[in-house]
Amino acid sequence: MTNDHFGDFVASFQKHEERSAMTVRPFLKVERLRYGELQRRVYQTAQYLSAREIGSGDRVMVVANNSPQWVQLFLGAQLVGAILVPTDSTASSATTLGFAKDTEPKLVFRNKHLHSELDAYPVEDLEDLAEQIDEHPATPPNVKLSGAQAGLIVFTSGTTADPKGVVLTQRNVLANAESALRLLHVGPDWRFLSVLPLSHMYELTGGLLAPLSNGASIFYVPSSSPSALLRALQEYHVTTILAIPQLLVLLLERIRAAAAEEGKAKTLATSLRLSAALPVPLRRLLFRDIHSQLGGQLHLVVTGGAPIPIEVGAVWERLGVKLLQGYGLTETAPILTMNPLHGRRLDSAGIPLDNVQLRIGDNGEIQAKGPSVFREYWRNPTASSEAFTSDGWFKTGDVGHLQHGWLYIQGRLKFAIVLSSGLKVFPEDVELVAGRYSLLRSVCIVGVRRAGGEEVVAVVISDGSDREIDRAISDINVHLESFQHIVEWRRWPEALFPLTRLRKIDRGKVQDWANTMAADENPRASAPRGRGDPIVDVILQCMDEPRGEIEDADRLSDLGLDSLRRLTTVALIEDELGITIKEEDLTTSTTVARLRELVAAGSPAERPTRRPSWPFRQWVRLFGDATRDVLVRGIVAIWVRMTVEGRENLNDLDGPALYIFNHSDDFDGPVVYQALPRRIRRRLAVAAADDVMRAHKVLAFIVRFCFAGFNLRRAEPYMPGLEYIGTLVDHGWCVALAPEGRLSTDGMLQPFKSGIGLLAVNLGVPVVPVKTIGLFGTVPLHAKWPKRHSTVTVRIGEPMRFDGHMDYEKVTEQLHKAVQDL
Amino acid sequence: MLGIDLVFIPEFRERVEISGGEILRRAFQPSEMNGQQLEHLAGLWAAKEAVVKAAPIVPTKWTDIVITHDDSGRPSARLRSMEFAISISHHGDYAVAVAMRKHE
Repeated sequence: MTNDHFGDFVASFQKHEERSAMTVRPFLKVERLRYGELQRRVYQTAQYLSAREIGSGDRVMVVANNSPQWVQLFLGAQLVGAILVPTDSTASSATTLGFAKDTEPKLVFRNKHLHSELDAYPVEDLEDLAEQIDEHPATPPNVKLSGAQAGLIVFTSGTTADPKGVVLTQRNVLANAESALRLLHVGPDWRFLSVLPLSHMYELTGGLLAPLSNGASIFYVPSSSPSALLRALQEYHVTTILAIPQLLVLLLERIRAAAAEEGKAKTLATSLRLSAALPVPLRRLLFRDIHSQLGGQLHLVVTGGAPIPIEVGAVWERLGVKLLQGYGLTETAPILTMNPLHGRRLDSAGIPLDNVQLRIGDNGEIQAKGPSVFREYWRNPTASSEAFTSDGWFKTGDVGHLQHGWLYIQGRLKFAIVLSSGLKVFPEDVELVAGRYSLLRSVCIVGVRRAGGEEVVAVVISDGSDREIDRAISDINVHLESFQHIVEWRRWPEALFPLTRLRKIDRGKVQDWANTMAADENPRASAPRGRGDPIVDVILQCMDEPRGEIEDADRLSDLGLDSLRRLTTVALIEDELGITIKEEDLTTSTTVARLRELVAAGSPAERPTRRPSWPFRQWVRLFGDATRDVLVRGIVAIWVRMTVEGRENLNDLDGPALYIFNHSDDFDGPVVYQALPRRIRRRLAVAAADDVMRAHKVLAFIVRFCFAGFNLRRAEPYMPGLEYIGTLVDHGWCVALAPEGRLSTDGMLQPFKSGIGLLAVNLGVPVVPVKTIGLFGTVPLHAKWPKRHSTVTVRIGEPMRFDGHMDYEKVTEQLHKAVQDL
Repeated sequence: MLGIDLVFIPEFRERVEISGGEILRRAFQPSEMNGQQLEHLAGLWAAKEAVVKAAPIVPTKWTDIVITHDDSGRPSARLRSMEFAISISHHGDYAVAVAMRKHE
């Protein structure tokens, strides 16, 4: 399976032709790309690039979010021998311009409407790629490839001075992906959720190439807000994610907050202590509630980018999730060491990959050799030669030691604090201790220059008073070696530390600030702008000209926040604080204080509607359908005499469809179900009101077991429910629902909720109108038992089809009329 | 009732970029964005603002206002059961739109 260049790699997709390679949901509809189709599109992309005269050694820049098109562009560029310059989509315009000037791309791909600073280059919208390549043949381009061919220029994140462009060959990247695969044994049934940007090697190699090498599937999410990630974990039953420690901390916080809300915080803490003694399957059973929030299948988290606090790692392990820590750099494409699946150690970065050689240099520096180690920086011979020892080993700049083959990392050589005594303190060591104090929301340890050497200074973000922080710091010092003691602390003036592209704290910037502060007589003068208040920070970003002071009593209109800026505020609050507030709650008269309340009451711990997957399992359906047929058909037969008209309209229907019916009686669900032919019933899921299902547990079980029922909310937020219907349709299920949203009180058809129009327009499946006549009053509203016998006619209309360009409100009305007229 | 709104396109672009395109997803349905240039989306935004000014009720979400084009390309807007005639114009850095409620 060894591939030396991407020509072989893409050709190997043939083996998994029918398997799903990647899945994305741009709106309601799930779009899935199988390996065979991905291969065709990659060939078409390569042909398209050839036609644009992109060839060997030409640079192609991409500044865009993760998507299947991104992957097609990357692989297509490799097939024509071009060099891709992947850039983080959230990078500032100065950064993207700098990269573009440095690499002189022949073509730039960006997300629609974004990054206008690149207008001077030949640009294309990545979203349009599918259309562009449509006409091109799906055959491999006639280009001779070799493993030594440069394939990528990836800029290092800015923690160390100016970003440098790391030139990686096709062989560098593939050697690393395949070696990682040998260590992890990725199986074809693994499901990866892509969380980190593909512009980073960690995600590109571990999250894209490793899964693609063995037929696994990858899921992309349009937004990386915590709520979107949790939803994706649930809906796609993800087995594996690559994450940075920060995300794992955030997810744990959510789990804890949810437990606290239900008054189960203590139970959770106790269970976590107990589970250390249990084998993994029992741990997962003990925490099945938490696992069901995470999709029930999350077995493996691979972390990198920064060391994970041992406590955080231990909690994940105790929940029954395997946590693998690895280590690497962009220059090594990127993985050097990784924990193996069996015998994981939370305190170690793991063992070297089978094609990586490691040694420890004189100053304790980790040095590496192997096929995945890069050869040079882009147009920077000085830096290139400085990066290697005279005998050709790459100097990582990190300090650590090897113990029986296991690597233990101490920290970046550059940020080691050299005391006047000559002893070295690694900030990472001190931070691991400081991280246990929740009073300090975030801590960054830096060295501040004093006569004769450096001193250990803690820069903290905390809501605590100065006295409380003093006390925390002296506590921390008790747990440190005496030479590591923190001698001074400072409060960071903003709500968040500056972050690098991988969302690591940008230690260099914090260190510079601490040194300026120390040198400055009047510390306040040099403090960076910002008020240390996340809400004010967001508002400042949305204002044209930042004003002197922002008071709690200020109204948003006073601050010049018009509707467009208020919408930006809502988007930024979700993006930066992970909290969803409703845009309609922000008006011109909303005050800053009110906004603060809204954020406080927002939804970090919002529990998504639970939709278990068991009702859709094959064997559950087997028993569920049998039970339903015996019981429900019997009961319906006693109370209802049913005639069905229009069944022939369904003859040509093959595959998923939406069945919509009027909601005149609680009995209509079962009646409609029975009225449909058996071949449709076997794959029919029924939407049931979320509030009712939550309130009546027994009823909920019966609805799920007998009718493959699922919860659908009748109030905001609607979208997750509609997306779930998209997922069901994608899995080949038909869905029956009553678009009126509530029971009719007089038997007349009420207006439809427009969600049905959105579904009809966006899912592209037929919608079948169904009407029950004469059922009203059989089980009246609030009645527990049928009140009368009825003679019912069920009319099935002709399937209706809609295309994606139609106005969904009009479609909603059309559907209403169709049911009305039956 | 009549409504009018003026949008300065460079500022609209800046808002879109700051939010990473998020405000477009919140303001428009995918069907409205189909193949539209940013300048046109700025016009559609102006139209939605104009509808808000012309409407007797305040919409709860921007996506409640739906803008469609008939076969001749003439735009119109809808907010629940209300229909609005709209007109959009662009010149240089500016987009302007007016909206008027149609009575049945």
